[in-house]
Amino acid sequence: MESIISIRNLNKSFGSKRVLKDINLEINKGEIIGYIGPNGAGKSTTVKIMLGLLEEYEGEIEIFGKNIKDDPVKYKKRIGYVPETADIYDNLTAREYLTFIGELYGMEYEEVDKKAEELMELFDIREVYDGRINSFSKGMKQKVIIISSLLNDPDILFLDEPLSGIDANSVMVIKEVLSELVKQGKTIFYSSHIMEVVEKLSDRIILLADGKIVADGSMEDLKSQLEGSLESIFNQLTGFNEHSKIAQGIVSTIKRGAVDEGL
Amino acid sequence: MKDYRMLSFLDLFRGFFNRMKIDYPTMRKILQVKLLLDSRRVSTIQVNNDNIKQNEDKNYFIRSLPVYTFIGLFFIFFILISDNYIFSMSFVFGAFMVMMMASLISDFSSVLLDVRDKVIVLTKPVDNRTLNMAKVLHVFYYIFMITMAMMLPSLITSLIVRGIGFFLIFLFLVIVVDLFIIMFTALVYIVILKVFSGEKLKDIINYVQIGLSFFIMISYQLIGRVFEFSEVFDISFKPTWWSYLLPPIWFSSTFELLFKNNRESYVLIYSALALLVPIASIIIYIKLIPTFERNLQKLNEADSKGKKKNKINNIIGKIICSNKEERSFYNFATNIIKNERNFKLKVYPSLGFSLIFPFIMIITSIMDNGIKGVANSKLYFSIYFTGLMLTTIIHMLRFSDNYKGAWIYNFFSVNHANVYRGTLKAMFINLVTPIFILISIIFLYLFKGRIISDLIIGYLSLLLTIYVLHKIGDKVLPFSETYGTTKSGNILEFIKLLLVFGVLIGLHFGTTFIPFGKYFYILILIVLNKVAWKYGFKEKKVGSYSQENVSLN
Repeated sequence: MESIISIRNLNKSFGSKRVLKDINLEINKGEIIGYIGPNGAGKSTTVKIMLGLLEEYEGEIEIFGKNIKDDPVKYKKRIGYVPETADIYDNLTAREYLTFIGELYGMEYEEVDKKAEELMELFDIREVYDGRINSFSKGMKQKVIIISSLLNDPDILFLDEPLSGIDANSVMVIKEVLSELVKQGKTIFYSSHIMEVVEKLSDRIILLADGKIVADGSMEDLKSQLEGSLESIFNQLTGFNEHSKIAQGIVSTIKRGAVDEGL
Repeated sequence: MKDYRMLSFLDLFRGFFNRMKIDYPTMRKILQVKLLLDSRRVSTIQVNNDNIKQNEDKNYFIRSLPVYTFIGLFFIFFILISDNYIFSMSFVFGAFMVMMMASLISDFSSVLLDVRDKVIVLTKPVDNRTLNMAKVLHVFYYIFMITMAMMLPSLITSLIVRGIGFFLIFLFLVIVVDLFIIMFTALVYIVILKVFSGEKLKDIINYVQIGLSFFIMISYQLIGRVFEFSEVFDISFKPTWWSYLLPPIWFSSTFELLFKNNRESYVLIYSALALLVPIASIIIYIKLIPTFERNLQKLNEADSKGKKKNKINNIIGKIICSNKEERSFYNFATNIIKNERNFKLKVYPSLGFSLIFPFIMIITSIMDNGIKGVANSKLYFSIYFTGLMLTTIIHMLRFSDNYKGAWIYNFFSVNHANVYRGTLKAMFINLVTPIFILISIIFLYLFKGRIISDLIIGYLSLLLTIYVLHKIGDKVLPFSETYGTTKSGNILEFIKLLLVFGVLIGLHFGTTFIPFGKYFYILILIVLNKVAWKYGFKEKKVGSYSQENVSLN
């Protein structure tokens, strides 16, 4: 199989804190990778490094067979990105934003405009194409971000919690779209905390904990070693088994004092 | 999308940008979006429910331009004052550079140090250089507009009095100066970003801003010292080693060289510097852009170590805030004032100025009369100059990056009086008081203990001024609007401040002639403050920001 992303001995520290410890990864063309891990495990950091947002790191990263440090611009033409924090210029209208992004990818205005409008139609938000993004609901905004990541027909998609705020019907559509894209040979790098989605969608799961890869394989591989759903495998591998104790602690902390009963 | 005139103008330089390895079409695109965004500032809580407000930002900026033209009128005087070009033009360029640097570091630092664009733009096939050049040109656009507004009177005067050649060189040098100060400021930031990191960096940036404010005010003071006034109209120029460090003198020498045929060696050196240093700064800057952008990321790096809880501030809050809600907002505002990067970027330079204003007259006086002469004077009244920045600071309190958080005011249906009281007190304690104390210590050294009562009067007067300014100004809930790229011109607010100060200084001065007058005055001020801060925040129910007006768009 053709390797499309290759990470070797990746290390990254913020100040004295090491957030990525010797990450090694080979990702093949046409894979959907579920990239999971607890908060602060280093998922977003890995993605940001691959996208060239963080430039100081140790190790080698090759995307499309070329070290990204050698040409930090060109490979991005074939990449789509849905960031975790929905960063967007939300004082623009959807049309203005999407055509802007398309043009940054080097597309012609008319071409992007047409494509974006059709995608808006398909995502059922055509009527707000000329509305300001800051008046959109969270789900509508997220759809715009997803559209912006698809405009350039990318070969690799980095999706960081892409379904947040999106209604169930559209979730079904998007999942279907992703599976279809993979069939066409696209590669998807999918990070999320929603284990059911990751379990269903991914053909390979990479679990990151404390800056290290603690599991890497298909759902079947993981199941052959450990019991249960992805959620329980996740808990076992990250050494977490206190959820009921913590939950009880939280509930008893929430409880009002006698004084407030009247309110 | 709207095509801006500036962009068509830029198209002329397309070849130049291409040669600097900048992706011109992309840069143009980014700039276009930035200018569009500037024209669309919105606030969560819209005053008066007017829908026009959405497009008002640009107008705000345009409306603030006449203020600069007004300031520029004073430069005419310098142009006409003397045929000695080094002398007259040094003052023009000096004043001009002070104004532009001040505006640059307080209003546009946040644009240069912006990191939010990265996620949107740099994940696309766009390189650092192109994004950074878009940022610089974005700043340049505003600086250029301000410059033209401010220099218009002197440019016209020079055209009439000194002829077309002089005018053209003047215009050219003014633009060179603009480029130079932008590059200079950016280079200062590059060095800081390179040397420091982590939490320390965030603090250092603000101190650098204060330092820059200091630096430009002191340099301006030095210009006057370069000349010797032997007789009224006989001005001679004496080059000293440090006069080579004053850019306004470089630029003014160019006129001496070109229009007076002055071939003194120092004139030649200055003129050479006027051309070479800006060019060098541009080249160095472009070379360093990648370093700049890489290190900018440091500003975003999370430092998980929390700051220590400020116990002293909590105690002060308990003392000066009478009720719980007010105290919550006191603590809330304190935290934002101390932590929000953009707020600090825009306000700290003003603090720098309020730190130095009181000393401007005193320094001149010390140079003329010596320390002894100053000690017996009444120059300590200049402590009121500390307050000249109050309008700016009060105005800035309405902005926040996280303006959408303003929903809490209405969700918890808080009493707005407590919000304003708590926030203004937090501003007074955290921003005004430290500076006041610092100046007081120096003043006590200069003027000795006799001025303690005057300092107390000054302090109480500032507190009262804040109340009055709030009362007569337009009230916008704190931290509820986004920052625009530009600040709106609040000259009217400033005039109000001057009037209030005029009255307070007059009263203060009057009491110095009455035996024990100052002490009575202190008592009166205490009572006034007590009453004002306790009862003076009541609002009529028909406030312009009642709940119905809240909308996210």
